[in-house]
Order: sequence, then C-alpha cells, then structure tokens
Amino acid sequence: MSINEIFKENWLKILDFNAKIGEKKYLDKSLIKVRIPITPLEIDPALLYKLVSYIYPDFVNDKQHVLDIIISDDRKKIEKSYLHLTYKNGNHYKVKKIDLNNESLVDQDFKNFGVIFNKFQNNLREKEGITISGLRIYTEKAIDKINSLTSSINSIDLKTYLTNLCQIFYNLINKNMLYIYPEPSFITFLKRLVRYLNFIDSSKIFTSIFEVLPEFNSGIILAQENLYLLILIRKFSSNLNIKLLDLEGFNYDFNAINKKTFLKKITKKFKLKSTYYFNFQQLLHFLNDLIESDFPFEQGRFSLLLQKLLYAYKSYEINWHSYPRPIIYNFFIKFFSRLVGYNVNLKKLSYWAIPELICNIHNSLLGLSNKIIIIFTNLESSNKGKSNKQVSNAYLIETFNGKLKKISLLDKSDVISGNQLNSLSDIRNRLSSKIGYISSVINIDKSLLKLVVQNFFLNLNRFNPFAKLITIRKFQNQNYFNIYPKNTLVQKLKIKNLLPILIDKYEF
Amino acid sequence: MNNAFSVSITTGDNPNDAVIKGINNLGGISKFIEKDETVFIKINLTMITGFPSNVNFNTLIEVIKLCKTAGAKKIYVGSFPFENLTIKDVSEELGLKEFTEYFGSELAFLDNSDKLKISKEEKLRLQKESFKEVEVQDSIIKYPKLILNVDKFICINQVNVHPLFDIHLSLLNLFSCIPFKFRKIEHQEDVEKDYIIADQYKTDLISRILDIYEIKKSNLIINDLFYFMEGAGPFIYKDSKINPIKHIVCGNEAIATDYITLKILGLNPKKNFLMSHWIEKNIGISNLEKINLSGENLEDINFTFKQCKKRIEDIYVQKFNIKKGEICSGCFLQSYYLLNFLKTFFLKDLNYLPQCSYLVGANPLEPDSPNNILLYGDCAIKTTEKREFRTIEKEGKDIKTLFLKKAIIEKKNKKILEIPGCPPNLQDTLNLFLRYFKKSNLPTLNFYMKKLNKTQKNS
Ligand code: SF4
Repeated sequence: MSINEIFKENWLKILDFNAKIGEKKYLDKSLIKVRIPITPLEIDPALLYKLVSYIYPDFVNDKQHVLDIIISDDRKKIEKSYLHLTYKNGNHYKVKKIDLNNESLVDQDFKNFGVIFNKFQNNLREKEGITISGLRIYTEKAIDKINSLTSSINSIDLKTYLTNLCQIFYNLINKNMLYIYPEPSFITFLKRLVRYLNFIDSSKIFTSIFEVLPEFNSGIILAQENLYLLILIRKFSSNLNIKLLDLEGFNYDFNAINKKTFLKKITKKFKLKSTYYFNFQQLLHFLNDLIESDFPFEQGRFSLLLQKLLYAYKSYEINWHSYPRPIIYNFFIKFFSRLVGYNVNLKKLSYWAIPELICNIHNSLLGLSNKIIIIFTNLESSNKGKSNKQVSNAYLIETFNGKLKKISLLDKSDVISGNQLNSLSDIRNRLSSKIGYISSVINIDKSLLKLVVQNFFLNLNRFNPFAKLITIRKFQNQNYFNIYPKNTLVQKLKIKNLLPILIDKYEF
Repeated sequence: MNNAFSVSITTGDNPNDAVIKGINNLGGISKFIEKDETVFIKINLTMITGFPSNVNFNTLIEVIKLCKTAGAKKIYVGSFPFENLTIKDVSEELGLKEFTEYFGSELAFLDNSDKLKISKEEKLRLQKESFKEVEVQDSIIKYPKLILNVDKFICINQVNVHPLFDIHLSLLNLFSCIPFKFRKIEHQEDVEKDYIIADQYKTDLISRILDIYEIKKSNLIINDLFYFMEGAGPFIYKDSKINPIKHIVCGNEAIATDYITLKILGLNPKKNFLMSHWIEKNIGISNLEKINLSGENLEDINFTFKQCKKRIEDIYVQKFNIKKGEICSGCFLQSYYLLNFLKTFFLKDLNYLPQCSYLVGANPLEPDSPNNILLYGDCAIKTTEKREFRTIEKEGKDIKTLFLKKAIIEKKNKKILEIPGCPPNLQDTLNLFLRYFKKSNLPTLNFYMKKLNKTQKNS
C-alpha cells in the first residue's frame, strides 16, 4: 500500500522548494506551481510556505519532525514508516523512509498514544538521533481513501472534490482510520463536531450549504505583515472555483490607509463583483478561539464568540473593508432610512447585548431542555406546485441547559407521507410520541435561505429595498417559512420594532 | 388525613419509565382510575415558556396513556396560567390543544378563553356557570366545576426551586386550580406595621393554598423531579439550571408526597412554611412519619441543590441599588419576579438606564441620590411621604419679594416613580417603567410589552 503518484509528485516538489528556502538558495518562484497537499488548489510554493508558517503554530504545533506510520487494517502490523523532517513550523523539507518493522503494536497501544509515541521516539533517537514532535498513524484503508481522493484531483471539479473530502474526513474520524498524536486542536474540535452532529455525513451538510449559496464572484484578501493572499472565489450554476494568489508580486500600495482604491483596482483587474479585505491575524485569532472551545459550547462561551464575531462585523473599515462599499453605509441612505423610522447604523450594532439576549430568549421560549425539528424544503425542485414541497432534509436538534446536546438527521418518512410534507402539528405530535416531547417544528425553504444570503449578505452594495422587503415578506408566507406552534414573537416580527434592540442608541 | 399514605420514590432512564414504576409501586393505575371514569390532570401551565416552567410533557403523555389503559372515559388536562395570561394564549403558543387531543385527552379551557367573540354578559354568564362558590373556613372560593365534578383528580407537578416556599410543591401546583386573580393576596386597607411584622401576606397566602388543597383532594400526586430546576425559579430566568436528579415521587396524598419530596432534597419539612402551617393546623406530624414508602430507599438519596436568592438585595441587577425596609413576603415575591425578569431579558435596556434607587418595604433605607427613585409598593410610598428626598431645593425667584430676588425654593421631586400595590403586579410595574424611563430607553421592554399586550388583546 503506497500513496499515489500524483500526491507523491506534488509533495516532493513542495519538499524540494522548502529545502531550498531552508538552504537560502535562489528561487525563481514564477517557474514552479504546486498544489496544496491533497487538494486540487494550485498555489505558489512560497505562498504556501508562508501560510503554513502562520497557520501551523496555532492550529497544529510549532515543533519539528513528524513520523508517519502506515499500519495494517487489523492494527497489528507496521507496514511502512516515513519521517518528515522540518526546519520549522510544519514546512517539511525532506521525507525519509525508515524501518520500524521490529516494533509491534497491540490493541492496548491505541488506548494510550503517549506510550506508542514514546516507544517510537526512543527508537528514532537511538537510530536517527532525531526527536519527533508528532506521530500520525494511518491504516491501509485510510491510505486507500486518501488515494481515491487524490487520484482524480486533476480531473474533478472543486465541488465534487469538496464533497468527497467531507465524506473521507467523516470516514477517517468515524471509522478510526487515522490517529494523530498529539492531536491538533482543530482535529479535536472537528471530531467533537462530527460526534455532536451525531455522525451526520458531513458531505450532506456541505451539499446543503452549497445549494443555498447564490451565484457570486468575489475576492477575499487576507492580509498581515508579509502576507497578502487573494482568494478568488466564484460560484456559478453548480460549480465552484477557487484560486489562490500572492498579491505581493502585483506592486500595490498595501499600506495605504484608504483601502478603497486598492480594493477597487483588485476588483477591476480580476473582473470581480466584490472584494473583501480581512486582517489575517485577527481571523486566525478568532478561529483559534473557536477551536480551543469545548464543543458543544457552553452558553457563556457561545455568547463570547458571537460577541467577537458581531464586534468584528460592526467594525467595518477598521477590521474589514470591502469594495463596493455596502450601501447601508451611504450617508443619504442612512439619513433617509432614519427619517422613515429605520435606524440601521451597523456601526452601532449591539454586539455586547445581542448574544446574551438570544441565549436567554432561547432558554425561556424553548425551554432549558428541548427538542426542535428543522425541515428544509426545496420548492424550486418541486414541479407539482407549491403545495407539494420536496423535503431536502429534516434535523432534530436537542439542547440541555442551553447547550447543544445532539443534532441528528431524521428519516424523511417521519415528516412526509406519500411525497407530501405532513402538517407541522401532525409531525410535532407524532414525533413527540416516538422520540419525546418536541417543543417546536420549523419548516424553511431553501429558496428563502438563498434570498437571505443574496440580499442580506452578498449584494450589500445594491440599493434594492424591494428585494429585501420581498425576502422579509416571504417569512410570513407559510410555503417558505412556517413554525409550529405559532410563535407571535417570531411570526409577527417587525424590523422596525426589532432595530432598536439590535442597534445601539449611543456609541459605547 | 387518617388513611395510610403511600408514597413511592422511583428512578429510571427517562421520566416515562420512572413514572410508570412509581404508579406501579402504588398498586398500578387501576388502583386509581376505574373504567369509564372521568379524570382531570392538573399540570403546571404557567407561561408561554418552555420546560421546566411548565410540566414535563413526556411525563404527561405517559400518565394520559396509563389513564387510557385503565379505561378512563374522558381525560381533561389543565391549569390556570400566571397573571393576565389566558389558557388560550398559552395553548396557542405551545400548541397544547392539538397536542392533548392527539394523545386522547382534552385541554380544559377553564377560563372559557377558547370561546371566540362573545359579549361581556355572555362571558359573565359562562363564568358563573363554570365556577362553583365553595365555602372553606370563613371564605367563599370560586372553584372550577369541571374539576369538582370529575371522578378522579391527578396532579403532575414539575418541581422547581421557589423563592418563598423553597421548592414548588404539589400544594402550590394545586393552588393554580383557580384563576390568578382569585389567588392574589391584596391588602386593600392602609398597611399597618403588624401586617408586615407578622408577615400576614404569607399567612394569608398559605391559608388560601391550603384551602384550595382541601376543596378537591387529588387521588394521585406526581412530584416530577426527574429534571429539577435550581438556581432561579419557578420560571426560567438567567440563573436557572436543570439538575437531572432523575427521581419521581408518586403518592396518594399531596401533603405526604410533598413531605417526602422535601426530604429527598435534603430540606426539613418542619421548617417549610407550607408544611409547618399544615402540621400546626392538623393533627401533627405523626401521620406523616408513618408513610408507606416504596421504591428507592430515602436514606440512600442525598441531593444538594442551589436555592433561589432569598433576599432581594442579593439579586444583582445592573443600575438598581436596592434599599430595603421592613418588607413582607408580598413585596419580596413580586420584587423577586421583577428583578429576575429584568436581568434575564433587559440587559441592553438596563445599560441605557441611569442609576436608580429601588426602595421597597416600610421605612426603606435612604436612596443614593434624589434622582430616579423607584418606590415599590404601598409601604414604600406611604412611609416615605415626609422623607427629605421627596422635595428638592432649587434656585428660583422669591415670591415674598414679588419675584425680584433670587432664593432657594423647595420643589416636589419629580424624579420619583411610585409603583402602587400591596404588592404591585408585574405587568403594571413594567408599563409604569415604560412611561417613566421612556420607550426609547427601554427598546427590549417596549418590544416585549407590545407583543404581550397584543397577545392579550387577541384573546
Ligand atoms: S406594600 Fe409590600 S411590603 Fe407593604 S404590606 Fe404590601 S406587600 Fe407587604
């Protein structure tokens, strides 16, 4: 069992490049292109080098040398072992096949990886004079899976690739095919996430999210000292394109205080509809906070994370920039909307009060221990008219003391009969008798979600109050949004009444 | 209370299992319900909120199923909600009518709130028809005829912490067999010192609770502690938490069942206001000590839990400086509800408010400043009438010099909000807050009150 040639060839190119950087040799970057390992995304190796050195210390570890071991599926025999040598921060420069065949594995070892790690550590110290910082153990099946993912990497589209990646990651975690010691915090986080999603196939979640995303063509700049990464991301029909570029080669004035001109140039040059600029360091801090959190989050932690997110969102033109500028920041629009009673100054978003209010309302309305069902329908794919909704997925979400307990996928037969979505009251009562009391059943159509993303998150630069109004109105149309038992707080929600709660009167 | 009392303590993987075991330990459901009997199941139905403010519906489903297996002809489920909420309000927001019907029972609209668009006269006539005047001790109590007339009466009580009675006992659950307006203890005359010192409010409240209990005794009591709410209760507040105690206490008598429930929670029943009052009024504790206990061993159970705050000055609410005087249980209880409600939902509003002095009880402590003084309750209003903060000194033109010279003149302090009532009611207090602090300073409260008033108008 060995890793496939496509992967190997790319990996060796990266190692070669990193080795030269380590040896401070002259490099003509423009001549080489590599792929981010196990992905079809092409990248300049120098950019990859920089990215790895920024991301690795926070998310994996900041030490050197990693040992990869491939074991038999019965976890008894070591098939192959490779030592990845590193100068610093996860940028490997050399891979070395080593012989560890005299080491044996027993079931007990998999209960305490510290013991196996020390066993190999001692062996390598003796034989190679090297201290490793990490150990990755793959079963042969895991290599099979990775090979199946990478073998077609040059020919499949990105959407299919990402769906496959989710599927494979789910399998590696769910079926104990991959062990990493010490376990990086992001893997621990993802493992817990998968467990709490009750092993719902992550590719299904990815496909659902992909479906509700409208078409877009945008650029995202992640910037920090010495790093200007531009991600070109385009969704059209059912395809997705992502390109990664190093902006350093383009001679822009990165330090200009006014980012508008810079972002305008990028938007024009790459024929984008919009470009966003984020501080990479802050983004990494947030992601670090997220994955360091115990999942599922305690309500206090959830509040804190949401607070940080809302604070970042409100800090437009401080923490993030965009071109074109969201229309809501236009002075006249702000002035007129205020005149007609809508105070939509996002710079005064109540980032400090909203999260706690959400938590307390959730606890109070739905209860400290509750089960709710969310049914996603798809009117677009129903060809028999609106009364015959096609159910995409139905999820059961359980919380206890305000903390997420479990999310599980419901069998479609629980919510439909003869291809038709049952009445929400019937679903609630029938499932209450089967799986315990259900507090609430919510039905939301994907086309409505798509409109929300389009009108409230993506097309921020267009003054189109009607599109926004239509979207809001659709929440009152039971074909698109329905909730049982009826909740006056949610159903009769008026933006005008809600705004004073969401937007501060003063700057705090 | 001279029969043998039987109480069973059970546990299980879920409330359904525990309640089945509990009833079986008492001899099975057929010991309580006979074929073709009508049954009323009294539940907690307090607000438009989730569990555990209201009953655990999983326990309810199981009890309905058991009643049906015993051959019950008709099963009613019901209760009267908190303050001005109607049963229809709660039913619509929780989908209760359809829910109870699905499981073969009927939600009893004891307040006739399900009758749409009827005249005031018709409403009064219906009310007269639905309630019977029952004489208990020296008072007349209007009690729903439906409950009086059923063959069997079951009480499922979700046990939560309670600010006045430690925990929400089944006696308190049974109290909401009558509408909130009949439950209210309101003192109409001028408050005398004795009323507060003797805590007459509490004595009156306890008497009324015990009177209601006496009117129609339950045949089967279920104190559901499977998920016990601690920290703050009995409604869901910011500090409320569920403690999965996983025990259910069933009994054939309310007092006996409550007695054991208190013991399970490590509380001394003799020190519980409700229980001690009953013991004093009745033959004493001896009968209670002879309860036939089955199921889990009481001695092996040892739970500790976080009680509610028992002093209002311990409830921290941003911007509210609590200045307490001599206070009875009436103002304590209402202040407890008010302050917890504010700290749960109005974080943002509280941030907009200026510092306030919240004066409660007779002869309260001095406010921190003459600005924004909230006088909560008749005692605080009346006993501070002559206090210095009622007037402020201002520079103005002296009337004696025909407004020619300046002088320091005394004016009525307008930065005082009087919240009348003995004790004041929650909804009126919130409406007064809106008027005094202005809607723009209380965006969340304004939003909430609009919804609340609309819900009530619709029904
Ligand atoms: S005003 Fe308050 S403290 Fe005074 S007697 Fe009435 S309820 Fe008690």
